[in-house]
Amino acid sequence: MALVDRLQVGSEEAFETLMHVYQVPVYNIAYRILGDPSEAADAVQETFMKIYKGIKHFRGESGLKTWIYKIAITETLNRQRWWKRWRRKVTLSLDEPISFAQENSRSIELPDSQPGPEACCAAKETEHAVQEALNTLSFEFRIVVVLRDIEGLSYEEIAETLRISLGTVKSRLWRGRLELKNKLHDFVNGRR
Amino acid sequence: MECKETLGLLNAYVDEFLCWKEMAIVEQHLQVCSDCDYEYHQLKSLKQLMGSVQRREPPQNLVLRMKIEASKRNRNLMLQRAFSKVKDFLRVTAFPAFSGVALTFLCFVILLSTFFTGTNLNASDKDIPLTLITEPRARSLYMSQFVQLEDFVSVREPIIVETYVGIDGRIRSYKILNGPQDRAAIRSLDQFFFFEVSFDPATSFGRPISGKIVLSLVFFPTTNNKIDVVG
Repeated sequence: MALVDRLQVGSEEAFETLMHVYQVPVYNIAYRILGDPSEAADAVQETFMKIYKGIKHFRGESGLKTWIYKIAITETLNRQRWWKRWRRKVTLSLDEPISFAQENSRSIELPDSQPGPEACCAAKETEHAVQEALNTLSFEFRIVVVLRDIEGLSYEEIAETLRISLGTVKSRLWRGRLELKNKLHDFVNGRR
Repeated sequence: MECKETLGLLNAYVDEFLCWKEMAIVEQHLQVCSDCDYEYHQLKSLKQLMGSVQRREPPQNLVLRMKIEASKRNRNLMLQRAFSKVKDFLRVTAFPAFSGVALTFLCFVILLSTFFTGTNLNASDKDIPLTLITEPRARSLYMSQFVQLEDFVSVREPIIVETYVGIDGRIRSYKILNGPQDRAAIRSLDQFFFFEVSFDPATSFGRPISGKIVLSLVFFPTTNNKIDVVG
């Protein structure tokens, strides 16, 4: 019995499998858009609740993956609007990626020693820089870049997930990358 | 191929989203154009940079949280479904059920008031009976000297008479249920009922109607000849 069929008959095991398979990509999409771990976790939770409720209406017209991503993006976008409106100015997450300007004023983060402290610091620095740059992009460019370059979705999958044409995917990706390239100029040139 | 054209395809070239022919054309151009090649490498670096970004691990308790939330919502969903089923059922049956109950109540009230007419406290003669249906009440039981009932009525043997009272409070007819049946007694009773006594007629919803009343006539030998009547 396929996973979708098992989900549709209300199998808790199947739902658990689904959560284990998709929680990481969904969490990462939410995190890259919202830039806040706890908000991203809430968005993931809400996404899976909607999946749980709506799986009976899933007709297989699109792939399960794109259907889940579609829900995740809608939920994240809703949360982002709410977040922007109410909470961003009053709450500060300890796990939130920090800007370089703020970094000096915060407590020192102890990196995981496994890959070596310098490499870890560099990775963290890169990640923070990428996240900062992503945060400056508008939602429509950001989501296309995240889905393509971080989540590795194909152009067709992105088009299906966002319900836009292939041409729109290409142009948004082009403009998003162009903006990112300018913002991450040092990193891009340093890697060459 | 022009640089402008190449730059337009560069993104798809980096993602290998071109057909083999286009890929070959772009590749050819990049070999001869250093500006486009620079752009290509920058895009490639950016793609590598984005790809190197570590994936964030969700909180460890996230799956557990979601499972708890799912079971909570599932319970709520079941309650909601049960509630909506009850609501749907009531929506279909509420009107007929309410009508039935209301009709039953109305019938019950009317029948009850017919069977049990209530107690008239008789606080004042001017009282208006509040019950829906009342029985006739004796207004005057005056017995004149022309009636010679004491010969027939005694304490030991009361006369029991069923009387039919018209809407004007006068007796239309009567029937002796227990007592003397001889002509002299009937004449005296005729005299008494048709000319001496008067009644408040029975009422239905405040309007006078004809009714019947059973009277028990007992004679108490006093100085004044007195007939006591028990209705």
